[in-house]
Amino acid sequence: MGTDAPIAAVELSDVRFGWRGASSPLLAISSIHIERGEKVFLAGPSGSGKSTLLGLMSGVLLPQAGSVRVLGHAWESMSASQRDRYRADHLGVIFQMFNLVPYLSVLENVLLPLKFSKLRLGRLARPEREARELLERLGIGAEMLGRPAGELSVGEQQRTAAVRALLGQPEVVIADEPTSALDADNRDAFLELLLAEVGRSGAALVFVSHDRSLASRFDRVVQLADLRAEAQ
Amino acid sequence: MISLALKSLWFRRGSMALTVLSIAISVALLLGIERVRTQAKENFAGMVSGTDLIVAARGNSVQILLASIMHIGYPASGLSEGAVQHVCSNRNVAWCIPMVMGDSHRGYRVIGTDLIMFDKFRYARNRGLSFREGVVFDGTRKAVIGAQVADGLGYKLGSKILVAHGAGGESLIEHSAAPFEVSGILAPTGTPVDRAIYVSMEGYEAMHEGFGGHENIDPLADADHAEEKSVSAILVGLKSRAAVLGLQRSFGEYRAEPLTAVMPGDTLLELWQLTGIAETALVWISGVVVVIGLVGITTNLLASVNERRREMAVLRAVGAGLPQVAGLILGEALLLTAMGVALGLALSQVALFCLAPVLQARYGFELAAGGILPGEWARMSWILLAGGLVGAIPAYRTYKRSLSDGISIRV
Ligand SMILES: Nc1ncnc2c1ncn2[C@@H]1O[C@H](COP(=O)(O)OP(=O)(O)OP(=O)(O)O)[C@@H](O)[C@H]1O
Ligand SMILES: [Mg+2]
Repeated sequence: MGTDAPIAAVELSDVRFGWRGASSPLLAISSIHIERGEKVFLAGPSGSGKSTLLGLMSGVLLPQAGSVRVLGHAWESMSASQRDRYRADHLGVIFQMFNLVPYLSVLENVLLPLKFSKLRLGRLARPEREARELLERLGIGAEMLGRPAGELSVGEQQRTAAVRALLGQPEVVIADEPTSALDADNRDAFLELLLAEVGRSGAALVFVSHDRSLASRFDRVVQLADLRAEAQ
Repeated sequence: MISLALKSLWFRRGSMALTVLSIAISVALLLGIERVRTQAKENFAGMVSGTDLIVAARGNSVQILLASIMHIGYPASGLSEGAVQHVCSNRNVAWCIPMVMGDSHRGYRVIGTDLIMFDKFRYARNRGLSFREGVVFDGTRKAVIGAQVADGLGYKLGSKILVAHGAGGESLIEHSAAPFEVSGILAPTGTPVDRAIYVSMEGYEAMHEGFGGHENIDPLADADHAEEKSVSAILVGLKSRAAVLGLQRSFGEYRAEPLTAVMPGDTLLELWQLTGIAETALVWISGVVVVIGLVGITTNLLASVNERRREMAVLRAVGAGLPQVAGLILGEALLLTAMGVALGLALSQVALFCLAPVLQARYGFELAAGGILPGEWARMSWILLAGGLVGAIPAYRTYKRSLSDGISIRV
């Protein structure tokens, strides 16, 4: 791609990754390019390496070959502690389940990334109030904020996780099957809120799900199998 | 990260409380033993510091020391007047305090001695005896009592004391001779002096003459009452300490009668060697309890490494580094150990506060309960260091786990 193109939110080129002990690499991707603000639906069969790919994108895993860049910065060129800080500054992450630290309250969980990222903290004039507002918008009322996170329902936990991922406007939000533990009504409501909030903050969203019916709500659908085919 | 560790521990407080408690108990033991040991040694060293030699009939030197200074037990046998003369008239001897013992009054030891005792006896690094009330005994019917005797029995100047034969309780035969009258009360010293009743040698003898025969009495305590052996032990102060070795030998070679001259300082060391085995055993036992506590912390944290994989992944995802994740576990181990140590310290202080009056009453030995001694700081630091070392194991495991787990944990 051209050097004059706008900096992509997430960009992979010629990436190879295999878990230790595996005979052949799990992922071999020639290129992925996700624009800033783009909402991407990442699909693929179970075990095809979707979660692994998210690990690469978030800089927790490093590829054996190739480059993974977020906002133009390659993970592999950073030191471990630089990666940790960069991740805290620019990425929000939502898992399938158990997103929250059980011994922290709802509010403490939401404010957790701000402990690690001065940048995101700096973007918020009054962090706690803005967290409360965002929680409120996602349907977590003030009465729940002091409760231990472990006491919330799964739907509430996922919405809390979404607030945490969005607070302080990280440029990239990564969601690994955040809706798969939710029933249909909850799932739709959650996706609605997530997409709206991501839209508001202007973050790029990489969303993994088995549920193809959700795909139409996204700007683009990426099949992991296609990426692999490209590489071969 | 510290507040995170604290919250995490609070979350798991049920299972953590026990390990903290076991560490606390062992720390309390370790500190308590150290405290009692060092203070007992200092105390006893102070008690004998003024006396250069103790002379008694041939016997075990530890026994002689315990009997004459600590008022525990009695010398095996007595000294004759000739032996006392031999010792006290030596030109190197500055002063000598003869003592005769074997009787008691309501649990307090009655000691026949010389007036010179109140002048020359030294304790706690060169402090002399002083009177809280009254004066020294000025005849055979007067007695000077220690502060605790006065307080314990409610005695005042002029109170009457009836002496029983032997050291013990109620059923002992009381000497029929007229009672002694309290002429003076000593100021408290924090030594066995507080628990003694002093009368003159003559008064002590007179009491025995009045009593007559020696039947029906404790045979152990009886041995030293044969008339010609009227002195149980002599405390000796020398003009020059340099003479002490020579005198010890020369008294030991006295022909007329087998004598033992004891150097109190050396004999104390002998005593500590005897008690050293018990001390070491106790220290080892509490050391093992510390280790058990630390192992408890480690297994506790190790067991939770797996169940906390998700928590670690969450922390990693929000920007915590591997060192921070591992540091959280290490911090938890350190915090648990620190809490155990702090609680143990508190426990030991409380225990010492409770124990101090008992030791004072039983053995007349003053235990300073407050404060932390340098040796105790050292012990606590070692335990904390050990806590950090054993905490490194689950911390390292967490590190490895988080490293290989990536960001998303498979259920
Ligand atoms: N931490 C790990 N260590 C070793 N191998 C792993 C690890 N995580 C995943 N794998 C392997 O990598 C492959 C892909 O796993 P991954 O979780 O990325 O798939 P996925 O597409 O997310 O599947 P699913 O849809 O079931 O979540 C699997 O074969 C899995 O066994
Ligand atoms: Mg997955």
